Amino acid sequence: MLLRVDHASDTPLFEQVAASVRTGAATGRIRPGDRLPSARDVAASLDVNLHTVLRAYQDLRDEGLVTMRRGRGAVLTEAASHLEQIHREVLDLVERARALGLSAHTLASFVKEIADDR
Amino acid sequence: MTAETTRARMIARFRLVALLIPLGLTAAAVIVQLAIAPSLPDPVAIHWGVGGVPDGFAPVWSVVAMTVLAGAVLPLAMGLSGLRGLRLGDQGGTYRFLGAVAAGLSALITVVGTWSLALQRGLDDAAGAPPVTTAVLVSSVVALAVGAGAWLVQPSVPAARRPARTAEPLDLGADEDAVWLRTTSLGGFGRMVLGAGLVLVGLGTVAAWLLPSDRALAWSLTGSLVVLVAVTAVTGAFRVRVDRDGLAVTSLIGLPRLRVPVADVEGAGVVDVNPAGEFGGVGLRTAPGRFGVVLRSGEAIQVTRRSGRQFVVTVDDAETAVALLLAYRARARATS
Repeated sequence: MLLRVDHASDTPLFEQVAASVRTGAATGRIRPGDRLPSARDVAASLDVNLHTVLRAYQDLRDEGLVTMRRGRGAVLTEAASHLEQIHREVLDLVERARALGLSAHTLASFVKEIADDR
Repeated sequence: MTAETTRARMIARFRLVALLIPLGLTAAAVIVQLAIAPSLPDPVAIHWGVGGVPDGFAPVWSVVAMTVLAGAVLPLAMGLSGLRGLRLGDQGGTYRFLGAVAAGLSALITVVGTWSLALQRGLDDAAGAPPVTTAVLVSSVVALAVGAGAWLVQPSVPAARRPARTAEPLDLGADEDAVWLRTTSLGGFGRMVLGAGLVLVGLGTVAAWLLPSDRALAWSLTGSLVVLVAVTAVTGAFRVRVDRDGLAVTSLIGLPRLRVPVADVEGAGVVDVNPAGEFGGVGLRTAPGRFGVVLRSGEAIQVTRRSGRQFVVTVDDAETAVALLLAYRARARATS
């Protein structure tokens, strides 16, 4: 799986790491039952603090995307497949919005407005 | 000669040496073995000790079964896996060698098996069987000759390098870092072979220690078991990582650790690997100009080093890995 962080971005590093995992799950590159790489490996490769990666994994656990087991590390849960399904539905939505000439920004605010109202 | 007819001849000759010759030799050997079976002692000698004295005995049918297994089934397995690669458009010296080995192996097994039985015709007790030294020596020479002949009847063709698919370098910002990690493990075929070997040798070892038998046999089986366990541990699964340091492939037990630093990356692409045809099998493999961590057939990362040598590792999602590696290579070149 691919994990990426932009050291110059305003988004906190742990959120970027967590977002990478979510993207991996949403695009189906990692699947339920797959093990996330060890936090130490990720920290060394991305040149970030170990606690940054652990924080990202904890956030993912709190939202139910991974489970943490002693000796097995962080493992992706079934929730990952739901994310993949939503990803496909969003792709459909984006296609249709593009065909209607709606910009990504307009579509995003439209979705946010509806979600906030409900 | 056009490329098409050369290919057709190459496949036909490979089929001849790797399939038809083993089948023919084994059929002939089995016919002879069954024909002389009534005049053989039961059991027959199947193993001779240092002084040429028989020290291992078994029923005749086990020699016939062994002849079929090692004289036909094993060469056929090699031949069919090679034929699959050839039909998919692959070619090269590895196939020529595979065909020669299949024919030579079959010759060795069929000749030595049949000869060792023929020596025992008319004996009441196999313990009186004469030494097989001559039979073994002559069979080895025959096997080498058959192998050499099988090599020579196949046309010499350059190895096919199916072109690597390149990937667009990953769009990596100047302040961005990324890492691609994935575990790759031995495919179904390799797992089956290793698993069967482990079970057989494991049972054999336990039996050799529990039953009254030769201590030397028990120890040598234990040794084989240790080697098999080590091979399984080393080649069973690898962690593959691409980051700013380059490509790293590490066995799950920590060693061996294989690396291609970014500075040594001349190019990278995605290839479809055929283990038998290109590397002669699965595992840690060398082939002319290439080294591979080849665990299954299919998708693989192929990195060309600055020396021109290629490093190959079979792994899923190779395209993302190649894209990231190319991005880091571009960054390294831009800053140097």
